[in-house]
Amino acid sequence: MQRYIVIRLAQSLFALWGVSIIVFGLARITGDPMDVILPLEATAEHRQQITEQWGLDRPLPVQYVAFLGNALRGDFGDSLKFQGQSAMGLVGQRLPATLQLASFSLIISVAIALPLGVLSAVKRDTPLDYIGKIIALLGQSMPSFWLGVMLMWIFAVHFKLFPVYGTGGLRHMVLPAIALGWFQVAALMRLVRSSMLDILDSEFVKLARIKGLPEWKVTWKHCLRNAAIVPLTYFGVIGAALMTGAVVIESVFSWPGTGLLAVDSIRARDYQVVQAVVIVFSTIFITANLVVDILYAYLDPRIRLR
Amino acid sequence: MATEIPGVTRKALWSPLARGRDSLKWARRYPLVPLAILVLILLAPAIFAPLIAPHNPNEVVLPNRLLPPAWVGETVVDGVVVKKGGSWEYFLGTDKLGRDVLSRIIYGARISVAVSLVSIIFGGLIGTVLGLAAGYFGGPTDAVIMRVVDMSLGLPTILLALVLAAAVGPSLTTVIAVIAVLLWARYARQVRGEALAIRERDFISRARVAGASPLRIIIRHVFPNLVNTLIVLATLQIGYVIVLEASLSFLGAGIPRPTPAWGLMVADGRELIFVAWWVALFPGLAILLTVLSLNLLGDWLRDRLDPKQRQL
Repeated sequence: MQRYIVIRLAQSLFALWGVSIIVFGLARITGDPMDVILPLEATAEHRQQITEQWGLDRPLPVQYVAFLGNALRGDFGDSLKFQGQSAMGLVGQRLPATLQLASFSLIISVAIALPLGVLSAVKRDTPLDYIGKIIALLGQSMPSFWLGVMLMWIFAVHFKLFPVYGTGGLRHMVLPAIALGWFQVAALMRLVRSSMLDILDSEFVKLARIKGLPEWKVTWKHCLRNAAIVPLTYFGVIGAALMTGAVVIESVFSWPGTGLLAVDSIRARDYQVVQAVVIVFSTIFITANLVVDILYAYLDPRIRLR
Repeated sequence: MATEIPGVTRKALWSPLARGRDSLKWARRYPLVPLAILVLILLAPAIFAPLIAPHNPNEVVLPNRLLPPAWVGETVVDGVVVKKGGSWEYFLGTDKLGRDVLSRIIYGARISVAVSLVSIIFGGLIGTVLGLAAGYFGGPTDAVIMRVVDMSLGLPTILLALVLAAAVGPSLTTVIAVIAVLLWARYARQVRGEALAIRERDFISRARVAGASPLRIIIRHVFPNLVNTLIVLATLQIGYVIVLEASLSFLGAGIPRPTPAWGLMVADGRELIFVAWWVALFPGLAILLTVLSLNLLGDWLRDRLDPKQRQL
């Protein structure tokens, strides 16, 4: 087990290192890094300042070491669009909004996916199961940004049930959270269904039935408890997917989170901020995957031996 | 007929590369008709766009801007036309520049099909070559390739695509390159897994004893056994790639304007959602139906060609 954790940890660090190379390299492979780093209207004075600050006149490996050193301290330079603010500080300011949206979306997804997944396993091959299948298929085929725009049109513009965009109370979060979570509902529901189907066949379920327990208790207590292990460990992956999915959904609903910051910064060519967002998101993403893998290995010893 | 030929797997017999009577058997067993029809429905608008589309997709006719779909009547308040009604000339309405939405959707199919096919071919090619090398040679080659695969599978896709596209500048070539870079790892992992298993089979050692070079063994003996897997994986991925391209275009890091791309059209429609719902609705429906049918096709193919990967 310890060996497995060490190996996975090393892999994750390697992946993060890869991200740093990609981020560092992208600004440089395209020719003059100035073109990527600086906006078009930058002054010559500004150019000079950045060149010295970043040491762009020094050889690449030296630059990379300097970049990595700064990155490890969370220093990605100052934003060019928002003068005087550090890139990392901006990300930190916007991160709570994204986390808020992602966790709300996670709650909604679970509240829909869990009962639906259990019921479609118990009532296999009934209309209910088919409805679940259709939801899953639609979830996998529908682009989230379009779902967002359609929800906005139907529920905000037409029926005026929810605000169109922006932030505020819970009501502002409902539509973006549904649009964000829809795909995850589909994935989670199928996962719950298949692990429920496995459990429903097992011996202890038969025993519980023979014992005379009511069917609802067998399903929701005995089966679900055991079937929930796999989907539960999957939570980290879903959380990470929701965070990255937020990049798209936040721009649909003008939700002022990190995703919107990333898209705005890319448009404004604010490369310092883009770097910071990519590194922060990748760290979250990679850590979530690491935690899930370790949890899996803990629950299922076969994985450790691979 | 049904006798086993030593050294040839049954899967290989059923693969499209098999010749003669065996391929007839394959065709009989797996009716290709529904598949062909589906692909035709998808490809037809893409190939024959100029013949089918009623209008030039980029023709700007400002007097006709924001016409609703044909079946929507005009709104009259006190004898004054407040909102224009639809016309059959512009079946699905027009956008803010008076361009025909239907024609743009038909031409948009071209972009989606082109981007997804080309990027899957490139990504699949890179992934297959590296996966074969890793699986067949093993050892340090395998270790190096698989570490990179693990790394690229563990990265947030859409964000990296955004950054790549932003650093290089949005264009059709960039989008294809970005998506191919994101796709290759999944092929590499799958191909490597299967190549590892195939390498241990008797017919490979026989080929080796017969003096075949590693390259020949890989191309003539290992690869044909992977064709089914690759077909299934590619079909299942086309839908994903179409959504990915549309998302990138929606965010402004994909296909540049004024090319008719579905994602861009939805982005335009989002701005107009208060006045013109049809601009966003129909291109999204096009994405939904295309991806849905591709996913169904992929599932069906997987059950037929690669039952091992079937899910409950």
